[in-house]
Amino acid sequence: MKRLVSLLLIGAALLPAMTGCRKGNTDTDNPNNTDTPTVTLKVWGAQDDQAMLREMCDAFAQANPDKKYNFTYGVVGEGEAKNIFLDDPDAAADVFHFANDQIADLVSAGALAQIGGTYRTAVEEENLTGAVDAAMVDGKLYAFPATADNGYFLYYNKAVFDHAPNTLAEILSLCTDGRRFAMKVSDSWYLASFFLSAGCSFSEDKKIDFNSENGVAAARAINALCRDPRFVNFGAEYDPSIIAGFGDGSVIAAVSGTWNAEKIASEIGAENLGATKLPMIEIDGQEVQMIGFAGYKLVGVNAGSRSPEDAVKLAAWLTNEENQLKRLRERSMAPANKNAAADPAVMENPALAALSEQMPHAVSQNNVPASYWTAAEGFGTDLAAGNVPDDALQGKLDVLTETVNNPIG
Amino acid sequence: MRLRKNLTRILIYALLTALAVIWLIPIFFLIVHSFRAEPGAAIRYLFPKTYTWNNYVRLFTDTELFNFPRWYLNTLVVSVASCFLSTLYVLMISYAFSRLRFRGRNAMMRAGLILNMFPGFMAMIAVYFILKAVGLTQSLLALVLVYSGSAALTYYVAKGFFDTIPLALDEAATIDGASKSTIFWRITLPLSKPIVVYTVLMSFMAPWMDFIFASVIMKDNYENYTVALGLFQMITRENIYDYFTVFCAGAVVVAIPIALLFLFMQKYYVEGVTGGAVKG
Amino acid sequence: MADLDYLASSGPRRAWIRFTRSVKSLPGRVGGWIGGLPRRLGGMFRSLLGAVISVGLIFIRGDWATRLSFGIMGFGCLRRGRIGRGLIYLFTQIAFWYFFFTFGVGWLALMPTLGKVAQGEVWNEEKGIFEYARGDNSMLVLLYGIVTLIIILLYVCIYFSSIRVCYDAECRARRAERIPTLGDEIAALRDRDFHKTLLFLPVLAVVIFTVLPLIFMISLSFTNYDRFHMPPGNLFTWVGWENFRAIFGLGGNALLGNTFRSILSWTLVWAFFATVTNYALGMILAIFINHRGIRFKKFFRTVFVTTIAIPQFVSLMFMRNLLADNGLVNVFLTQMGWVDAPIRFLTDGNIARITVILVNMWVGIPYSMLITTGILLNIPADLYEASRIDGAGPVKQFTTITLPYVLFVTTPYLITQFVGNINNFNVIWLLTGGGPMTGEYYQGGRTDLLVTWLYRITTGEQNYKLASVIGIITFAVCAAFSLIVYSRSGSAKEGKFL
Repeated sequence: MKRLVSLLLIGAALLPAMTGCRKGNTDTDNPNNTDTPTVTLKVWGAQDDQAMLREMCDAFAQANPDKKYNFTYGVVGEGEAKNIFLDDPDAAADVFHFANDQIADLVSAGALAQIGGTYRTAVEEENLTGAVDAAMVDGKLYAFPATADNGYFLYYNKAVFDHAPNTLAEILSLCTDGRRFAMKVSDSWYLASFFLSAGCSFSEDKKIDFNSENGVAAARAINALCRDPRFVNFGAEYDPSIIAGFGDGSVIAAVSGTWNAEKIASEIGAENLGATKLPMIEIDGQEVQMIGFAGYKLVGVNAGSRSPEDAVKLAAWLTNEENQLKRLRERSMAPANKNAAADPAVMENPALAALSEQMPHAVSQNNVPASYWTAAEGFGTDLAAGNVPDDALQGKLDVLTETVNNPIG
Repeated sequence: MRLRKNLTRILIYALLTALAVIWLIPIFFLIVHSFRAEPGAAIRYLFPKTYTWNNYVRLFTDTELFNFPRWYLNTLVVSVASCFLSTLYVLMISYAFSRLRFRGRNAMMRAGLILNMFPGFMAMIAVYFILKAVGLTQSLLALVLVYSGSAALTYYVAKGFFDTIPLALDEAATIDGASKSTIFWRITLPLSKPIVVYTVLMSFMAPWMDFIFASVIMKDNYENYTVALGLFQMITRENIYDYFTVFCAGAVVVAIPIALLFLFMQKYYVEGVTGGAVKG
Repeated sequence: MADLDYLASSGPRRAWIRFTRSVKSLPGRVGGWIGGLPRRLGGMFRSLLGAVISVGLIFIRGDWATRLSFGIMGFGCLRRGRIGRGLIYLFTQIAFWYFFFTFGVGWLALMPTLGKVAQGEVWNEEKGIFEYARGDNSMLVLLYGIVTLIIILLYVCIYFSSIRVCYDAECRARRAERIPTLGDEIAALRDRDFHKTLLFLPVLAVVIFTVLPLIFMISLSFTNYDRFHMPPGNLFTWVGWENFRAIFGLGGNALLGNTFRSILSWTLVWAFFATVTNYALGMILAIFINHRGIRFKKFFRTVFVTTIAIPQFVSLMFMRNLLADNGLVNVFLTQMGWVDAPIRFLTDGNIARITVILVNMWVGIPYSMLITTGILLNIPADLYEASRIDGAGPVKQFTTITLPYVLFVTTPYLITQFVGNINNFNVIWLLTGGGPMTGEYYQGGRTDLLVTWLYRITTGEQNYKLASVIGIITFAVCAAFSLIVYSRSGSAKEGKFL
């Protein structure tokens, strides 16, 4: 009896092995069967966007009645898209949303289908230049811009500030009685702002020059800020901390992105929610505008898609003017489409207005090397601890630059 | 003398109470905050301003974003199945190593011991593609196979336990004409309740704890998530403000069955693990 | 039980002496084990050669049916009436060659290069899109190549044994002995060969889910699989020992070598403290709870056990929230006026290292408390009785009876815990994520263990080649450690190294 059970188990384990191999083979034999009327497409989007995504896809199916579309949906947020995609490109979506800082890795892994011809012309004509640049690698277009909302700016409490603060000194001057200004310098995304403001850059060939004189000046400015009791870094749990800080008045201004707008508003009241571009900061005795990252959400097409034609068509549909407006209305995401970006709804939303105000002072993340993020986080965390002497900065920046520019692998 | 004895006793009571409080504080706050009405993850006061059942209600009704009931069920199914399979594996392998003598036994035992040191998640990519080759990825069955597969190597506690059962019993049965299979099923297993319970407990808990393997295997298949994976989605940057208290409620709901199981089976757990891990 | 008798008769001192002695002899045992390696490998090689020769002899000595079995597996068995076994062999042969030609040979052919054809891009004017021709996927080539090799190895084993079985059938036939039927063999699986029945499934599972991935990982460390050689767009290939040189700082990047050394030493420090604190305090806790005259034993035990019941990831995520710079613990401490500035439990390197050890105590002490409780109940009461007559106080009793006894019986547990802590991914990752990160490490943080560092390197920057080297080293450290401890010759011979 028990033997029988175990035999059955073995059989059960082996059977799919045989059939599984067979199936795999026939699938690869004819990868593009575009002639068949039924097309199955897998689409990835963030979890909170699922409902909206379904509506967009259903509308696409209705607009293209010549084929029968069969959509499957996967919950993969823009931030995780690269990792989950590259784990198994074969099982990944045909059409997927991702944050533009992942484009270089995705392209170098051969994951994204290049976009050309009329699609490319349309993207270039209809979208903001920054967004188009963000979807390009080496002059080739690899994705469709969907939103232009992945950046950071300054939130402030209108109950404390009677007008939008313009300089860091101004903010700090109001930080009295335990009220503080928050920015997570131990996060490499925010940290870059100081170096960019001081004139450092991420070059085209994915190198940084943070150990230059300008870089050291920027690091000194960070150091000074970290030692200031009116400033707070909130190492762990940054986002919940600033929201709570706004709530109890211990934070009056903080650098963050659009995802916190509603939450801060619910703590201090929508009438008190102020948002504006990043402040001016004094670096090496000079007041300069703080520069941020301009991030975009893009829609890409899997290079291994079995229905590439339909996948590209769907990706273009998901990012057309109408759907970008839909994202703006339903999810408060700033559009990358020129016409949609001119919609009054953008300026009515304080966070999106601040984002577009920051836009002229923002750089694309495309040139940021993948080796930057963890290495810079380490550097920022060291500084945030507030015990690095100024004369040690040059050495630390040399190490950082070396690690980022010459990663192992 | 009596005074000194009483003094030690009081000291011990004080110490035990203090430790018990320390151990219970996080659990206490977890429960308290699962009833908090105000949203947010970093609040500046110890106790909620208002209490509500709403987080628990949301957990089971607000399923559009987080299908907790479904994930809970998934985890339960995976737990029960993998617990059955792992227990079978562990008992079979440990019984063979403990009671049977055959060629290559020592070498196999040593190999098992070493292989158990292999950091499991280094294996994930390979396991994923092996499962894919047989068409099993993103399914609950895949999770069951993976969890029980890694459990097979944790045989040493059970082996230690079997070692403590007197061989004379086997010998007597053999003289009476019982086959080795009969001895295993009819004699040894009925005597091994503690270790069976111990193994069942440990393998039942694994799917509730793991999230790395589950995330690699499930990827974008939201429907087949386990609770660990699902609860994680609640505390991402975008969700933590609205869902932190729901996360706490979910944690409590997850902990309840395991806690009950543990409290009732505690006696066997102690017997199993002391009989197994330390003797032999 | 022999150990118990030994203890009771010769006194706990002896146990203590044995314990210290076994620790002292560690280095010698390492040397012995390594020294014995060539001999053992030589032995393996000889027995392998012997097997091939004996099969060769069978070809010379056997009759035509046996010789035909070299070509058609199981033919000899079929001819001698062992129909069941013969058919199984024949089926195995057919299945193998089917597998080999439909699946195996293609992957195997690509193994030396790990793929030749990269993904191709073509502009399709008519459709207005770029189309992609699939290239070779180096990762799949490597994995399925290994699978194929393992199956070939298995097949060769079955092949050899089939020939032996056929020859055995021939010999029996010649001697006019009874040839076992399939029924006999199935009956044997329940009795004489019961171990085969028991071990088949677990071993299969271990081979698939542990051995195969292990071989895969070891192979990866000899390739250049990283984000510049990422499938499906790119190929990766073999690079020899390059990655190992890099990690020991010989590849020109001193930072990596330093980081590796720092993280390795912190991993060992962590494993030591995490193990010792849990063990010692768990023992003390158990002794207190079981102290004579203490009531509510069950209540106290239950309180501590409750923490086991809460899934670790939940309690750890919650702890992380409580211990954040702005978390409830700091709120409480500042409100009470005990501290001016929040204590940076998780964001200051040194404090974070202490925090993780403390939190780990919260997680682990209940387990060791439970185990020690069981052992304490097993200590023969007459030992205490005798020592009390000799005038020993509680402290003396503890150091001369309880401690040596518990230490002696839990040494294996202690080792398992130590190794488990080297690989303790959950506590570190969920609590600090390896952080606080520091610029002094290569992509690493102050509380990073080798395993968390490895995980970050794979998920963050897809540096699989480096991660697999770290994985191998971690594995080697753990395996060496446990082998040494368990290869205490005496217990190994008795067949009970645990």
